[in-house]
Amino acid sequence: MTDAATASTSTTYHGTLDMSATVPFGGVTYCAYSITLRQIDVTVTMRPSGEVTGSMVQALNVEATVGSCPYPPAAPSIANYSLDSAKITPTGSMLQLAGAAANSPKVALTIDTSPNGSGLQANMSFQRTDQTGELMWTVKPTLLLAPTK
Amino acid sequence: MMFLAAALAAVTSFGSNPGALDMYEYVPAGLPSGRPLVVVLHGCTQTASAMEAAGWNALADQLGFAVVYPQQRSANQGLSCFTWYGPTDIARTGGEAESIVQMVDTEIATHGSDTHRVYVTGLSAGAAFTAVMLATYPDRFAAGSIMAGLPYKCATDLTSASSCQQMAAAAQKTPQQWGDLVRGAFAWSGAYPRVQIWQGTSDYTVAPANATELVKQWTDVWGTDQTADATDMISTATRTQFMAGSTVAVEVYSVTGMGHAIAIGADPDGVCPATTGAYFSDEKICSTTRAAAFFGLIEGTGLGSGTGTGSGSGSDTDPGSHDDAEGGGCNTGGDPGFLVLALVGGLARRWRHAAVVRARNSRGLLCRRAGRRR
Repeated sequence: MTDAATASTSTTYHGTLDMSATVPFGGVTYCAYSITLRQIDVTVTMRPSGEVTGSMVQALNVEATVGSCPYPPAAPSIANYSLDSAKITPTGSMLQLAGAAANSPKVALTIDTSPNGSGLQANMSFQRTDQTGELMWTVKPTLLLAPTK
Repeated sequence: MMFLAAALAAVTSFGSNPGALDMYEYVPAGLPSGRPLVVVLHGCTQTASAMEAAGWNALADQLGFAVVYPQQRSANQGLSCFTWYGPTDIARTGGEAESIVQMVDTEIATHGSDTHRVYVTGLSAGAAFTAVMLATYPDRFAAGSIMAGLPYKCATDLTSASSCQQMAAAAQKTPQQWGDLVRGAFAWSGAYPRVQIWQGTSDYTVAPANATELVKQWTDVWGTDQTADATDMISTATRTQFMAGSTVAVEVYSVTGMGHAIAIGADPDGVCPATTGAYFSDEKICSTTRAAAFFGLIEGTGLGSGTGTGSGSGSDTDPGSHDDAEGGGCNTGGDPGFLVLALVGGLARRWRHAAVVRARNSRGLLCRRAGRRR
C-alpha cells in the first residue's frame, strides 16, 4: 500500500488536556518539587483495522518547589514525542513514543489505547528516565481522543 | 521445504451474524467432506490475513482440513479486537461468539467439515476469544490453543479487561471460581474441549500469570487438579501437561524470554509452516504444528498429547456432541519416528496420503478422544 493510499484510508484521532495531575518528587535528600504536565496535545493515526501508523505528542513540563527550597525548579520546557513502535494488546494497542533529542528532562512515553465510542481512550504514562530514586517521576494522564475526519 | 501462501476467500453469507463479523476461509482444492476445521482468530489491530503467517493454510493443504478466519470490524470495536470482555459477545447467543459458530456451521454445510473435529486458536484478543468459544460452545469445539490469552470471563467491560491483562492478585480467582464461569456459560454435561496454552515469560502485555489462571480454569472444568503430571523442555519452552484420567486435558508451553507473540521457528521435532511477521517470534519451537498435533491433526507424533487408556463409557446426552467414545491404550509420549515421517516427509505428501496414514494409525486418534463421552 502506498503512503498516499494509507493516508486516504487512515483516521486521525486528536485530544488535548490542559493539565495533568500534579506529581511530587524529591523531598528527602533533595528539595521537594512537583511536576505538572500542561497543554498535553495528542494525535494518533490509524488504519481502518486499528493499526497505528503515526502518533505525535506535545506537553509542557512545569516544575514547582514544594515548601521552602534554595534551589529553584527547572524552567518550564516543551517536550515533543513521536511514534517509535506500536504493539497489540488484548484491548487495543500500546504505543511507545520516542522523545525529541532536545527534550529535557528525558522522559519515556507510552500510550495504551482502547476504543471509546467513536474515539479512543489514551492512558498515557510519562516516566522520567534521566533520574532515579526520589527524583524520578511518573505522570499518568488519561485523554479521550476524537476522530478528526 | 517451501510452504506456499494462498489467498483467503471471503464468505459473505453465513447466517444472521449477530456479532457483525466478517468471514474468510481457506479450503484446499478438492477437500472431501468429513475433514476437520480450524478456526483462527487474529489479535487487535490485525486482520484475518495477518494470521496467515502462522501457516495454517499450508498445513491444511498437507493434512486436509479447512480453515476459517473470522475478522473483526472496527465498527464493532475501534481497534478491531474481538470483544472478549463484552457481555453480549461472550455469551452463547446474540454476539460475536454466535457469529463464529455460524461460520463453523457454514463450513459444515458447504464443505462437509467433520462436526467432531472443529478446533479454534488465536492470538492475544483472539486467544482470549478462543477461551470464549471453548466456554460457550464446548459442544462444538473438540480442542483449542490459546496463544497469549486470558481466562474466560475475566472481564466484562473495558476497565476490568485492562486489569485482567496484568492479572494482579486482585484479578486472580480460585480454580472453582474460574471453572464456575465456564460452567455458567452453557449447561453442558459432556466432556469439555482440551486446551493448549502458549505464554511468553517476557510478555508484558498479557502477564504470564494469565497462563496460570487459564490452567486453573480449565483443569477445574475437567475436574482435575493443578499439579503437573508431566513436564519437559523443548527448545526455549517448558511444556507442562495436566491429565484428566489418561487424557491430556490441559497443556501449557511457557516460552522463556518470549514477549507478546506466537512462537514459531525450526522446531526440534519438525518443519514449521509459519513465516515471520508481526507478532510471530522465532523461538525455535513451532506453535502451529504443536497446536495441530494437540488437535489430533498430526497423528501419532511426538508433538501430540498422546493419551492412555480411556473408559469411553457414558451415554449420549447430546447428539450434536463432538465427542468420540473410543478408548484404548496409547503411547503417551507419541512416536518421534512417525513425527519425522509426518512433518519432514509426510508434509511433502498430499493430505490424501496423510488420510491413509491416519487410517493406519487410527489408534492414535481414538486415544486422543479416550474418556470422552458420546
